[in-house]
Amino acid sequence: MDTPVLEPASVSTTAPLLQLRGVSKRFVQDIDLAGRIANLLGAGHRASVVQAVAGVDLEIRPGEVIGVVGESGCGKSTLGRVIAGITPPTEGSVSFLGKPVDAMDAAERRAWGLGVQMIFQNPMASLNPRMRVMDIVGEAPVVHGLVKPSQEAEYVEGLMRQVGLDPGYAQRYPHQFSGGQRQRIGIARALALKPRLIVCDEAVAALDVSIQAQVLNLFLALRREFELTYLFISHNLGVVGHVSDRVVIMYLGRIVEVATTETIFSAPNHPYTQALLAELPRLDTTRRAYLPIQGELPSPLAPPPGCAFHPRCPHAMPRCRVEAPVLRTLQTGHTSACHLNDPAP
Amino acid sequence: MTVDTLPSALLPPPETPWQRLRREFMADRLALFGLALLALALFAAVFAPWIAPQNPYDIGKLDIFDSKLPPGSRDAAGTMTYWLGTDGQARDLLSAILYGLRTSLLVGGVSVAAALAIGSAVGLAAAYFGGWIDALLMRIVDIQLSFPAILVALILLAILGKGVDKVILALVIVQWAYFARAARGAALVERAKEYIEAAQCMSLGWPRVLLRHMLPNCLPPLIVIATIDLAHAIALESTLSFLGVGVPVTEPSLGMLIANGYEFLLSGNYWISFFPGIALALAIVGINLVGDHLRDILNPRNAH
Amino acid sequence: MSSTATVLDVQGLQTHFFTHGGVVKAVDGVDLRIEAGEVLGLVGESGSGKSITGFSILGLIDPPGRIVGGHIRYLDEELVGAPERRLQALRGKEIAMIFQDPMMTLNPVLRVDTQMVEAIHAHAKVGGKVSAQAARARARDALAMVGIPSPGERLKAYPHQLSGGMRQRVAIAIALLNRPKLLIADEPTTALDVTIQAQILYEVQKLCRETGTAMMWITHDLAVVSGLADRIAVMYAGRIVESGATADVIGHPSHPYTRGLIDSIPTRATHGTLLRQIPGMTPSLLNLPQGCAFRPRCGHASDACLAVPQAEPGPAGKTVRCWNMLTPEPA
Repeated sequence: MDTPVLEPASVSTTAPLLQLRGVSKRFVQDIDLAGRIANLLGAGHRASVVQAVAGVDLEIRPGEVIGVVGESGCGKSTLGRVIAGITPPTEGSVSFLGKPVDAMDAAERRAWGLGVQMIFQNPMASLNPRMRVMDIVGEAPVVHGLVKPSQEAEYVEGLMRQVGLDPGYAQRYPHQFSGGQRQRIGIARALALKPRLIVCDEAVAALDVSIQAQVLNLFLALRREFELTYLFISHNLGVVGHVSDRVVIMYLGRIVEVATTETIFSAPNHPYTQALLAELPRLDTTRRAYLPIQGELPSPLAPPPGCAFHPRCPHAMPRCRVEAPVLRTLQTGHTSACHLNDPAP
Repeated sequence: MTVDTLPSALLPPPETPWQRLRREFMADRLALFGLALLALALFAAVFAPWIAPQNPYDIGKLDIFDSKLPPGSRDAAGTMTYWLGTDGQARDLLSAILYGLRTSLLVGGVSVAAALAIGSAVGLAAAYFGGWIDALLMRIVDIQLSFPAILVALILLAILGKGVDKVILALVIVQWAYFARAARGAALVERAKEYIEAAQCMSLGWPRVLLRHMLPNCLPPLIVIATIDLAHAIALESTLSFLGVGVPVTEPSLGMLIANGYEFLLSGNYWISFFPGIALALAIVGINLVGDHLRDILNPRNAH
Repeated sequence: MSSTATVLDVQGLQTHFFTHGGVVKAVDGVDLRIEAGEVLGLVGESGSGKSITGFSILGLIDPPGRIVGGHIRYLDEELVGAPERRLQALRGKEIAMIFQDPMMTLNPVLRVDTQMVEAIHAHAKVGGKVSAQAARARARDALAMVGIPSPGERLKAYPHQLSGGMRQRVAIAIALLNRPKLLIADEPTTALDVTIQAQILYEVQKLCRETGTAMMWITHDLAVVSGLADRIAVMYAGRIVESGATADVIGHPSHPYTRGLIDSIPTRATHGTLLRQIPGMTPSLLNLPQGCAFRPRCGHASDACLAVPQAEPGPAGKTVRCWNMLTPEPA
C-alpha cells in the first residue's frame, strides 16, 4: 500500500506552551426569587451545581497533538473552552508560555487571546450566517492589526487556498457551502490569527467519513506548515488514535489517564480506558460479540462519591466508593488515577 | 490538498439574504397588496402638502358655510369639489385625511423606531451579559409590561401635556419593554451558538460582538414585531386622540378626525368619521399584511 | 438463521422528490433482500439515500416525494401502491422502525407505560382485546428485554426523565412490542456515547438472535455495522454500488467507493500517515454527473463510466455496480 507517511513533526522538549494547574470549572444555577421564597416556607431547594471540570493538571508541549477523549458529561468541551479563554476557570491557573494568565499584562494577554484559537463542532452554528466568508475570516486579523485593511482580500484568499477552498467563493454566505467546506472556513478563520495552539472541539464529528478524512489530512498538513500545536477533543478514540501523539482520558470532569497514543492502545491501565478500547467499533470482517460494561453515564449534577467510575467498574473495591483516586505516575509520561495501582492499604 | 471540484466561476452568483428576502416577498399576492396599501399611505403622508386640494389647517382658507357638506359637493365659490365631504369646521375631508395619515404614520413610525432601538439594546445586553444585569433589566421590563399601555400613556400625557413629541415619547415608553423581551429571547438563542463563542475566542470585544455579530442575527424577529407594532402604535395613538389627550387640534391624526366626527354620526353626517376610519383601517391592514408575510418568510429560513 | 424465507425483497426502487429546484432522485434503482433473522447493514454518507430507502419501505414518504418505480415485497405482498390502511396495519406490527432521535418515537407529554400500552392496543388482534393488566405486563417484559434496570419504575417515567441511551432502549422496546418480522433502524446509535452504543448493539444483537427478527441497520459508520451485520450494502447517490457478505465487502471491496470509505477510517494503525482520502464531495442530487455518479471522484474512471453501470455479479457472490471493479488486493 502506498500510503504517504508523514515524518513525525518535531515535538520540542522545551518549556510547555500551555499549562493547567488545578483547574476546576463549576457552573452554578442559583435559586431564583420564587425558589428562595419557597425555601423560607420550608422547601429544600438547593442551587444546582455542575462540576464540569475538577482539579485538572495538564501540560501541552509545543508541536504536539494531544487528544482528549471522553463521553458526555466528562468536561472535555468545557476544558477546551477554558484553555481557549472563552470561559474563565473557577479555580486553578492557566499559564501560557510560562506566564500565568492572571499575572499577564495587556500585551501578554493579547498574545494569549490570539495565540490560542478554536475550531468548533457544528459547521453551521460556528459561522455567522449573515457574514460573507471574506468577513468571517478577515475580520479578526484586521481588527487586531495583523493585516492592513487594504491587504485583507489577498490575505483571506491565500488562507482559503491553503485550506482547500476556491478563493472565488469569498463573497458567499455560509449556507451556500457544504458541511465539510464550512469546517474549512472555520479552520481558515482560526489560522488567520496565526495561532500557536488550536483547540479542535469535536471538529470532525459532524462530518461524513470521506470528508472527515480530508479534514484530518488537512489538519496534519497544516500542522507541519504552520508549526501548530493541537488539542484534539473527541469522543471517538479511533480518530484520536490516528491524529494524536498523546492521549488524555477524562471521566466526569477528571482526568483518569494520560499516556502516549502507543501506550494507551497497547497497555491501557485505567478500567475506563480499557472499556473504551474494548467497545471501540472496529472495522472487522467477523461478527463480534459485544461485552459492554453496564450502567449509565453518571450525571454531573450528582456525581458518585469516591471514584466517579466505581458504579460501573468491574474491579471496584470498597475503597473506591469512599476515596477519589489521584493521578499517579506509572512510568514517564504515563499517569493513571486508579486505586488498583496503589498497593497501599 | 484537494480543492473542491466545481470552480466558483461556473456557479451562479451568490444571493444575499436581502435578495432572497425580496424574491420571496414578491411571491405572495396578498403581501404585495399589503405593501401597495402601505406604499400608498406613505406616499400620501409624505406628499400631503402638495397633493392635498386644500390645507385644512389654514383657518383663513375655510368658509364656514361649507361645513358638513356631503361627499361630492362643490364649495360655495364653485372652484373645487369636496370629494369626501367636509367636517364640522368646513375642512375638506380628503385633505384632512392626507394630513392625518401624515401625523399618524409619523407618530407611529418614530415611536416604533425609537422603541425598537432602546428595546433591542436592553434585550441584547441582558442576554449577552447575563447575571445581575440580566436580572435587573428584566425586572424593569416586567414592571413596565405589567401596566396596561393605555393607562401608562394617559398618565404620562396628563403630566406632559399635549403635543406630537409628547405623544411619541409616551408611546416609546409604553412600547420599548415589549421589544426588549423579544430581543432578549432572540439574543439568548444566538448567544448559545458557537459563532458567538468563536468571536469571543478571537478577542473581538463585546461591543463588536453585540453589534456586528448578534444584532444582525436577532433582527428578523424584531423587524416582524416592529411592523406589527407599528399598527398597534397607530391604533393606540388614535385611541388617545379619540380620548382627547393625544395630538393637538392643529395637527390632528386620523384618530382625532374620527373623534371629531363622532358627534355627527347619528345625525346623518356619517362621512366625517367614516372616511378617516376607512383610511385608518386600510393603513393598518396594509402594515399587518406586510408584517405577517415577513414573519412567514423569515421563520422557516432559520432552519438553515 | 433458521428459515430461509425472504422477509423483504426490494427491486429497482425509485423514490424521487419533485421540488421547486428540480427532481431530486433520492433513491434511483435500489435492489436488496433480507432473509428472516438476518441483519443487513445499509451504509452510506449524507445524501446517499439510505434513510429515504428505509422510509420508502414503510411508506412514510410525504409529498413532494413519492415512489415512482420499483417493487417492495414484504413476505410476497407488494407494498408499493398498497392502500394506506394496509400500510398502517403493517407499521408497528410487522415492520417497525427506530430512528436516530428517540424523541421521534416517544411523545414527550405521555408516560412510557401509556405509550407502550397504546402501541399494544393499536395492534391487538381483532376480537381478542388485550386487558390493561396484560398489556402492562407485556410492556414491562419488553423493557426488561432491552436491558433496562428496574423496568417497573421506568414504566412510570416521562421521556425527559430518562437519559438518551434509555430513551433509545424504550424506543427499541416499543418497536419490538408486537414482535415484528422486520425492524428498520435508522442510525439509532449515532447520537449515543461509545459505551452506551456498545450496550445497545449488544441488546439488539441478542434480541435479533432470540426473536428471529430480520433487521436493516442504516448507518454511515462502517465500523459499527461490520461487527453487527451479516450482509452489507453500500449506497452512493441513490444507488447501491456494492452488496454482499460483510467479510467480502469489507475484506475485499470491489467498488472504488467502498475502498475509499474503508481507507478514510482513521485508526491507531493509520497514525502518522495521510489517509487515502476520496477527493471532492458527494454530488448534488439535483445535478448528478452523467453515467456513474462516482465518476468525478474515482481514481479508476474510464470512458465506459459515462454510462450508468448496471448491477453485475462480482467476486465472492457480491453484487457490484462498476465497470472497473477493483481486483482483490493481496492480503
